[in-house]
Amino acid sequence: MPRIILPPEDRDKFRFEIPRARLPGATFDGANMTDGDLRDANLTNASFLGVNFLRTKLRGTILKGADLSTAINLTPEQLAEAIIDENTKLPEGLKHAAE
Amino acid sequence: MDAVAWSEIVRNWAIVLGGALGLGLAFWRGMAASRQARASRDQAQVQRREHATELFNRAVEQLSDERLEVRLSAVYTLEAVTRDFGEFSLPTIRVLQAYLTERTSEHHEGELSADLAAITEILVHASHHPSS
Repeated sequence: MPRIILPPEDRDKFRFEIPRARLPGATFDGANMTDGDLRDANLTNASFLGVNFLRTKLRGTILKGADLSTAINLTPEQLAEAIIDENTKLPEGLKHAAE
Repeated sequence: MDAVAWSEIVRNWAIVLGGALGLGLAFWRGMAASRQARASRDQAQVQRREHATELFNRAVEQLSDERLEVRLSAVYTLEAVTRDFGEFSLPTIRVLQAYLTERTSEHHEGELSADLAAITEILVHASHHPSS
């Protein structure tokens, strides 16, 4: 399992920034995407279990069939900007907002 | 004072001066050896760093290779470089993110290839640190 450990002085500089990436079916379980950028990325059927979406940019992000069921800090505003479908698994509190 | 006494005084001073000179010489040689050892260490460090930079650049180039095994090897080489040289970690992360952003649009949909899965794994793991 490849891992890169950031030195302490660089840890605050890291942001999860992969705009326009095309990674259908990818696994992001447990990631911290605080202040990240996933705009216009195609993340169809991707898994986001336990992912922290605090202030993550999701405009145009394709999340069809993605599993967001245990994602945290995801807001209705972020979801409204993303592209989801009936197969997208949403956290309990957001299912209503998506309808 | 007779000649024997003078001779002893001269001999004793000669011993003291010789000793002092010997100590000075030993100290000077010790300093020179220490400087040389430090220079050798610095030189070795520079060579290791140049080698790491070369590996880093070559691996970045290999990320765009057509063959999956070459791309996967590049990902693992980049990881190895960051293990010895922490200052390459953030640049490596940024290169990998740029790779996902700029290159994956060329890939076909379907199962995620091993190199992309490995890069995603690296990013997920690296993301755990900012809040810790």
